[in-house]
Parts: sequence; C-alpha cells; structure tokens
Amino acid sequence: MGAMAGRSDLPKADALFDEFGGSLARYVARLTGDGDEADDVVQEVYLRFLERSPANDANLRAWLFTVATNLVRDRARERHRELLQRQDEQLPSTTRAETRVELADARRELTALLAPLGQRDRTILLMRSEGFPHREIAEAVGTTTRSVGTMIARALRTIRKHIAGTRRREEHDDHA
Amino acid sequence: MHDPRTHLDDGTLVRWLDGECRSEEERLVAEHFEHCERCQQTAAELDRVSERLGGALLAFDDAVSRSKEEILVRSSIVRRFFARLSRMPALVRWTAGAVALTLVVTASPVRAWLVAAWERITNEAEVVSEPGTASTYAVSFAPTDSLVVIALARTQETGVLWVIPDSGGRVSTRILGAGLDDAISIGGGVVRIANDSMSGASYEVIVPVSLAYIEIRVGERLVGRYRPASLVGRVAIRLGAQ
Repeated sequence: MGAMAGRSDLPKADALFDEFGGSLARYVARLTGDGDEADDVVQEVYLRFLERSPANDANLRAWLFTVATNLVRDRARERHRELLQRQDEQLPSTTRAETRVELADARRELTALLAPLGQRDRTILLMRSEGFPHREIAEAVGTTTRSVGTMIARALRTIRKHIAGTRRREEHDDHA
Repeated sequence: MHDPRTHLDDGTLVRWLDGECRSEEERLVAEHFEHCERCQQTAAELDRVSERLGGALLAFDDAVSRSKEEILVRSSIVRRFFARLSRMPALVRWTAGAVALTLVVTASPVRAWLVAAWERITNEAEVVSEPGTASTYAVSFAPTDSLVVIALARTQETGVLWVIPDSGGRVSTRILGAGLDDAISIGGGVVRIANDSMSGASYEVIVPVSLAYIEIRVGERLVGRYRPASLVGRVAIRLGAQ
C-alpha cells in the first residue's frame, strides 16, 4: 500500500470531509466523550480515506463512520482503558470553571446512559441518532437490516433498566 | 403475516418508530395498535428512552461546542484589546501607543523578536490553501540536509501532524498548542526527517484546521509557511537535488 496511492482522491476527500466532517466529529465526540479525541480521529479517518478509499462510492458516509468507530475501538484498546471513562480527566484550563462543570455534567449524564452498553450497541444508537437508516447501520456493524431494530430495542431497554436501577439506588440512599 | 392476537416484537416497534416499516408492515402495526394498549405503551416507553438519550447527546454536543468556542474567545483577548483601543480618542490613543511602542521596542528580547519577524517577512512566502488544492513546494535539497516540518499552533488546541513520504509509512507527532490568539508559538509539533535518500522524494503534510501555520524548513532554511483553510489542511513538498 503506497501512502500516496490515493493522491488523486484528494479533491474527493476534501469535498467528502467538508460535507460530513462535522457530523463525524460530533459522532466520535459522543462515542468517546472527548472533543479533542474526535478531531484526532477525524484526521485519521481522512488519512485512511486517502490510503484505502472504498472501491464502491455508493455509501461513503457509512464507510467514514465505520472507520471512525473502528479507530475509536482500536485507540481505546491501545491505551488499555475503557471507553467513556474519561470524565475525571482534566478539562482545558482555558475554559471558565462553569463551562468545565457544565461539560463534566453533560459527559457524566451521557456516560451514565451509555455505560451499560457494549461498543456495538453504542455504535448502533449513535449512528441512529445521526439519522442513518437501519440498512446502513446494519452494514456498519455487520448484521442484517431486520436485526437492527431488535438491537436498538434491546439497547434502549438496557438503558431504561439502568436508569431505573440508578433511581432506586438514589432513593435508597436518600432514605438511609 | 402478523397474528393480531400476539404482541408486536420490540424490533418491529423500533422499526415503526424509526419509519423503517414497509407500507404493509406499517398498516399491520397501526391495526394492532387499535386494539393493543400494551404495545402502544411499549412503543411509547422505547420512544421515551430514545428522547432521554437524544437530550443527553444534545446537551453534551452543546457543552463541547461551548467549551471550544470559549477557548477561541479567550484566545482573542489581544484582538479585543486593540478593538477597545481603537475606540479611544485619537490623542489618547496615539500618546499611549507611542509610549508603549518605545518601551516595547527598547526591550532587548522584543527587539530580537522584531528582527527575527522582519527576517521572516522578507524571506518567505505565506501560502493559504484553498479547499481541494494542495500547495506544492519545490525544494532544493542537499544530502546533509534534513526536512523539518513545524506545526505552529495557536490557542491550546491539540492535534496530530502527519508527514507522509510517498515511499510509504508515516511520521507523526502530537501537537500541543501553547500560543494565544495569533501570537504563534511552537507547540511541540515538530517532525524532522533526516535521510540521505530523501532527494527527489515527495511528502504530504496533513495538519488539523486548528493550527495557525505549518513551517517547512530544510535544515535551517525556511522554505515556506502554510496556513490551512479547510477542515484538514495539507501541503505537498517535493524535494529536488541541490
């Protein structure tokens, strides 16, 4: 694989990232809980596109999201840490204290909802929130279109159960 | 065919919520809902959890973008200072400016910085990239030279600088921006490639948009400065034998 083999794809890559770069960065930030990580992953996806752009142009958006998802997984594995366990990391000191608190709170809330799910279920729910049709989600996670609905429902039920459990624990603590 | 006496499975309910049902399935679900309160409740329950998650996602997106905006706003303190200054009466402005300039220019570190800046201005061409184009530098290159790519970051944003030789492989370095506003500083994003066989090679430099500039040097010689203008900026460097 030549790193510059995709040079002729540069204009295409630029157009593609101008169109989808923003939503891709948002998706990765949601998946990782980290805006800076999202920027890095988007860059890496850009490079991957130049190196190994898909033969079929039919669904480049789904391809971008799939590569980003795999990169997030690989990066997490490399660092030997779980996804979405970053809420205690120091936030940029250039932001105001209340902004940092607000971001920490939002991240904690999101983490609490997604924590009980495996990466595949998170991917499915986050791609769904980006408006992907079930067929494209199925391609991204390697399942059938029909199974996606079932997997979404299962993930939502897991979240609901987790919320109920948390609420029960909080009520118990309040009474104790 | 769906048996109206049995409840709809969760997958069907989600497909219905997401508008993924074909017309026949859509009709069956609607018919089933007419006599099955339980399935209606299940669908509503799944929808509520979706909305709760959607709300958390939007709140997180807002918090991330507010945090990023704030970093940028804070980095424009210098710009705002000069904007305020420009609104002062002319006499006050000119007097303050003259005093400040005298104090600043006579300080030796500032003088040295000004001299260096002047040298830069007179010795280099700044290239602002256009989306969809690559800026190419043709560089004379001696075997003893090394290619140096420096990421000049502003604010405290981070990113990764990639240098990709056409022979394959990549060199990358983490960039930690340390500058404020347009006062550019080297934030640690430096890639050095020293290789006798580099002559005639091509390199692609990929930079994040948050960077202010990329400096390309061969040895100590400044070849050019590059300012990315699209989401992910890039510049091509073609090295020729000296």
